Amino acid sequence: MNRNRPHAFKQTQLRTRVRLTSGSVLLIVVLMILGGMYLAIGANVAGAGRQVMLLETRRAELQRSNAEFTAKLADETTIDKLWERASALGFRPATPDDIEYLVIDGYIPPAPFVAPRPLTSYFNRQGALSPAYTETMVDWAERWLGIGN
Amino acid sequence: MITDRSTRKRVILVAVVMTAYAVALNYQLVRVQFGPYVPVFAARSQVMGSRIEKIAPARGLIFDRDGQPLAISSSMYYIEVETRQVTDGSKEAIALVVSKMLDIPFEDLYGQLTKDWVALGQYRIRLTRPTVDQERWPITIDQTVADVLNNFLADSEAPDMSGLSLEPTSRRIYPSGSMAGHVLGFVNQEGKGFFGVEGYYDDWLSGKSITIERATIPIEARLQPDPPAGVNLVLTIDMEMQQAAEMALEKAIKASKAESGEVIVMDPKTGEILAMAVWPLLDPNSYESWLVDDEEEPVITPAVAGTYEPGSTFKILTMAAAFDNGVLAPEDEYIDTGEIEVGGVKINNWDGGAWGPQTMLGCMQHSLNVCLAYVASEKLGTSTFYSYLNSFGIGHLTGIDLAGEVAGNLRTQRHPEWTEADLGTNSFGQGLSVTQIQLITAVSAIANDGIMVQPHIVREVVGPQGVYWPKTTVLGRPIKAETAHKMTEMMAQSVETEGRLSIVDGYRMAGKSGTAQIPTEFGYDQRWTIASFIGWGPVDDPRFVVLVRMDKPQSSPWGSVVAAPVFQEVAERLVVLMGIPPSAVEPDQASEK
Repeated sequence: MNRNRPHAFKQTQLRTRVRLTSGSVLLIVVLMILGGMYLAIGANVAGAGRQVMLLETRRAELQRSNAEFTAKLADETTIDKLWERASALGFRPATPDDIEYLVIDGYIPPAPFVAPRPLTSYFNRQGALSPAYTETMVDWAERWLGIGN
Repeated sequence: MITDRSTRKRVILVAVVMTAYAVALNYQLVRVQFGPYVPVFAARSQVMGSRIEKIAPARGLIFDRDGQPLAISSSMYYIEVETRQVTDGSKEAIALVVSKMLDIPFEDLYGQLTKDWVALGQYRIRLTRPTVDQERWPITIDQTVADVLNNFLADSEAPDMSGLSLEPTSRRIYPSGSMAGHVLGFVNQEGKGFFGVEGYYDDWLSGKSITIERATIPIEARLQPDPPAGVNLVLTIDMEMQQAAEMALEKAIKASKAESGEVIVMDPKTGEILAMAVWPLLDPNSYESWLVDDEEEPVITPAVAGTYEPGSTFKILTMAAAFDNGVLAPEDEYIDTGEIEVGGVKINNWDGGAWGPQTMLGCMQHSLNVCLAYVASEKLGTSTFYSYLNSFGIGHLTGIDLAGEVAGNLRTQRHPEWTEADLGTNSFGQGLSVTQIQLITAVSAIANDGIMVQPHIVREVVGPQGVYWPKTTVLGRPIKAETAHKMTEMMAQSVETEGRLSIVDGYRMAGKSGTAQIPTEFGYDQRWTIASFIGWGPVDDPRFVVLVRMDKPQSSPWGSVVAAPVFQEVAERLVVLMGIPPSAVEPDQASEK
C-alpha cells in the first residue's frame, strides 16, 4: 500500500491537470463560440447598417431627382411659357365681348387646390427597423428577466 | 511539472514579459478612461467612430392659388475632396476636369489640391473659386454638371479622380422668374428667407434642422430620424391675374417713362391679395443686386415696406367719414372760391382755380382740395376726422403676412408737431404717408359694405399635421354699409363723368385718381409726382379693388392720365378671369343651357 502512494499522488496531479486543461479548453471554446457569435451579430448589424446607409443615400438621390423633375415641370408650365405657346398657336386673351355667360343651375365650382403634404412627414420612420438590430445584450437580459422598460 | 532550470527560467521570463505587457495595457486603458487626457481621447474616439451631421429638411414649397409652383427646392452640389484618398494622379485629373468644365484656372484648383491638408488635420476640403472682390466662394454646380462628373467617376476608362465627391445641398428655384418676385422674397445661400413670403414665413417654410450622430465604426443599423418638415404654402395670388397686372404695369411704365410703379389687386370681401405687381422687377433667382445698402435703391415689396403721400385718392376716406358722420350728403352744395385757410395755411385747388357751386359729387369729380379741406375742418372737425382715419387703419400696420411692413406716418392732434394746418392738408392726402396696402385695405371697406378685412397673402398652409385655412379677419367697421353704398355710387358716377380712361365697357366701376406731390427735404418736389388710381367693381357687388401707383411719370404727371388706363386694362382682364358677367346682364337674361 505504501508502495502505491507516490503513484496515487502522481495520478491525482494528472487528474487535476487534465481537469484544469479540459476546463480551460472548454472555457476557451465557450469564449470562442461567444466571440464568434458576437462577431457574426456584429457583422450582421454592420451589414444592415451599411444597407440602411445605402438606402438612405438612394432615397436622398431619388428625392433630388424628383425635385429636379418638379423644377423642370414647373419651368415648362409657367404662365409666361404657356402664354408664348398659346400665342404661337394663334390664341389671344379673351375680352369681355368674346364671352357669353350662361347660368347653369346646380353648377359646382371646382374645389380649391390643396397642396401636397411635406414629403418626409407621412410617417414617423423611427422604429421602422427591427429591434433585433438595435437591442444590446443588457437590453435582452433585462427583457428576459422582465425588468427595465 | 517543469524540472529543467533553463526551461523554468525561460517560462518565468515569458510570464514576466507577458505580465508586464498586460500591466502596461491595463495601465493605458485606465489612463485613457480616467486620466487627464480623457477629453482628448474622447474627441479622437468621436471623430474616428462617429460623424456629427446636421440634417435640414427640404424647404416647403410655395404655390399660387391654382397650384402653379412659385418656389421649389432643388439641388446643387459642392465639389469636395477626401484628402486621404486623393492621389498625385487624381489631383491633376480633378483639377483638369473641373477647370475645363467650370472655366476656373487649373493652377488655382491644383494649388488647393496639392496643399498638405492631412498635416493640417483637414480630411475633407471643399474646392473654392475666387470672386471679383478677391474673396473665395465654394464652387457650386447644378444637377447637369453633377451628372457629368458622376459619369466620370463611374467610368473605369475615365481619368482617375479618386477622392472627388459631390456634396448635395439645397437650392431655391423660382420657376416664374421675376413674376411675383416682390411677393415671394428670396432665400439666400445659407437657406434663410428674406422679404415677402419667404421672409415672413421663414421659420415655417424651413422646418427644423436636427443634429444626429452617425456611428461609422462600427456602422450602426439605425434609421436616422427625419427632421420636422417645413410647411407648403398656397398663396392667394392668381398667376394669371398677376401676369395681367404685370403686363399692364410694364406697358404703362414704358409708355410714361415712370421710374417705378405698383399694382395691387385685392378681394375686398376676403382680404385676399390676388395680384401684386411691382416695377422694377425682382427676380428671386438672382437677388444679389437688391442687397446694395443704398437709400436711393427701390425697396423690396414696396406695397408694404414703402410709404408715400397718397394725394387725392385719400379724399375717398375723408368724404366717406363725412357721409358716415351724417354731416354731409352727396347732394349737399359747397361754393368753391378756390382758396381756404386752415390753421393759418392757405390751401388751393390742384389747378389754382375756383370751381364755384359744387355738390359733394362735384368736389370728388373735380378733386377739389379746397372742398375737402372744408369738409374736414368745418364739417367733421379734428377729433372726428382723425378718429375715422384711425378706424380706417391709417397709421397702423394692417398685419398682412408679408415681411417688412411699415405703419406709415400720421400725425394726429395728440402729436407734439401736429398743427391745425395738418388737418387741412391731410384731408386731401398730403402731409401724411401711407403704404399702398393700408390704402387699399381702407378703401376695401367701402367696397365691402363698410367692413374692413385684413389683407393676406397665404390661403392655405399644409403641414405635417394637416391643412390649415386662414380665416378672414375683420379689422373693423369704420363706416356703415349705407355709407359704403353711397360712396361707391358716388365714385362710380365720378368715373362715368370724369374718368373716361378708367371705364370698362359693360361694367360699372367706382374709383378715384390721385396726383401727389413728392416731399423732399426742401419742400415738395416741383417736377415729379406720384400718379395713382384706386378703383373697385363691379359696383353692384364689388369683387376686386385695384390700386395703381406710378412714380415720377414723364409723359404726364396726372393719375387720371397715367394710372387710370392701367386700372382699365387690369379690370378688363379681371372680369374675364373671374368670370364676372357685364353689369347689364342679369342671370335671367343670360342664355340658359
